[in-house]
Amino acid sequence: MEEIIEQYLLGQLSKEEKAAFEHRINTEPNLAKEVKIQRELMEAIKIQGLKADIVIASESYLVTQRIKKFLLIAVVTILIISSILYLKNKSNRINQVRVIQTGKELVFDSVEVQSKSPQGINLNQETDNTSTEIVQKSVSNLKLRESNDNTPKEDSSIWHPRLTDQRRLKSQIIIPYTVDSPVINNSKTYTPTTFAKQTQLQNYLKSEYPSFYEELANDFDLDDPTFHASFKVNYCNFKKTPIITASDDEKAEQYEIDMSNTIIKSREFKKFFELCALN
Amino acid sequence: MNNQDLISLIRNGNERSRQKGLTLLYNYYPVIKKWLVTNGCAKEDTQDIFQQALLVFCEKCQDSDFTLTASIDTYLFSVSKFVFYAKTRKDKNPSNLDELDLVASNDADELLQKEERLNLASKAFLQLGERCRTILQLFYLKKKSMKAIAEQLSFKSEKVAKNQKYKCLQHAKKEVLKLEQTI
Repeated sequence: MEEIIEQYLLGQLSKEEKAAFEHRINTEPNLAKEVKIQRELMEAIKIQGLKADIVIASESYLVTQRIKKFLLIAVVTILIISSILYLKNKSNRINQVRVIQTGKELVFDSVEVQSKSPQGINLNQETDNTSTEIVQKSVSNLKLRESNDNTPKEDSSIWHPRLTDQRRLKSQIIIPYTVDSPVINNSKTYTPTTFAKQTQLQNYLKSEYPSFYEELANDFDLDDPTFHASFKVNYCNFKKTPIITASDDEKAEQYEIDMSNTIIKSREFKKFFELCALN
Repeated sequence: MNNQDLISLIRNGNERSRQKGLTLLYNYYPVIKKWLVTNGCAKEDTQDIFQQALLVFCEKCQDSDFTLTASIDTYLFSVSKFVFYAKTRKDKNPSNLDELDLVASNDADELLQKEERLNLASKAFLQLGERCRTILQLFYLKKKSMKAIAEQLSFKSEKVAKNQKYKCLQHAKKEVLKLEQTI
């Protein structure tokens, strides 16, 4: 019986079967009631199933909404924290220290606090002695460094000291500060160059150019270790002039050598170059 | 996704596609919730009303002749409006109803009456054990074959599953009769 009721309700009966079954329903009240109950049950099952599906959809929707909300809160929180950190960092940068060196005094016309430092200085103390001490301390401990992004003016330079104190400082603080200016030593000392004795050159000059040798010997102490002679050829108007340059630690002289008796000048030039280069 | 695609998703016997369709329909919830709240509905009731509207829509989707003249959100909005009025008994038949409102209100009224009529059957069904409920839902709602149900619920055979379904249905019928007697 159950099976035929189900087939009837699911529309699985043929036309004839359906008509016969409907006739039975009309004539048998018990069957009619059973059909009614089963129909209602089948409809209720469908509706309850749909309701369950809707509840599942609502849960997944709510979960998605919660995730979105959580992400939004997370993003907003991150933004707020980053903004606070940024502003805190920015508030530390109160001003910029501009140190103007005037004689033996440094003038801080504004101060920038970049970040905390355990060795920081408190510029609120304004008595001269303390200030001096502070600046000296800051110079030695904190190593004030010159800014790269600001072009220093003629008599000033930009400094960025690190301070522990985050309080806003007065716009102008004059701090006496003895600058240890670098010592410039003007007494220039020269170490004389010691040359090897140009014996061969001197012997050659003595034998081949005795008058020139005599003149050279008169002008220089040929035994002086700083004495040196070199050979060069000056070119002027297609005329080659052989020159000997002689010098010691006190003076330098140039002599033109008379090579009028020489047959092949170029060979003689070569000879001189070799003799000078030997040393 | 257009109206017809969504209706197809809901109408399709496939559980997944119905779930997908319902989740998409839930995107209309915030707007309808806002309207309901501004019109005096308690926040806690908005979800129930919207779910009722979804149920009306799903029921109508099962009807192959069902066609929408307006967009789904407008339809859902009209049904929600009617369900809200019906629930509060505030203004069950408001005068300023347009054509869609009338259609939606008829659909919603139909479902409300049906639910009233099916009240006992629903109660009887809900009193069944979980396994029984699952078998009956798989067969009547999800239209699965007895063979598939036997596999899904690990019955020894199709025959055992069929027998179990018969017992569950009998049990439900008895529950209905019992409830009728108590009334």
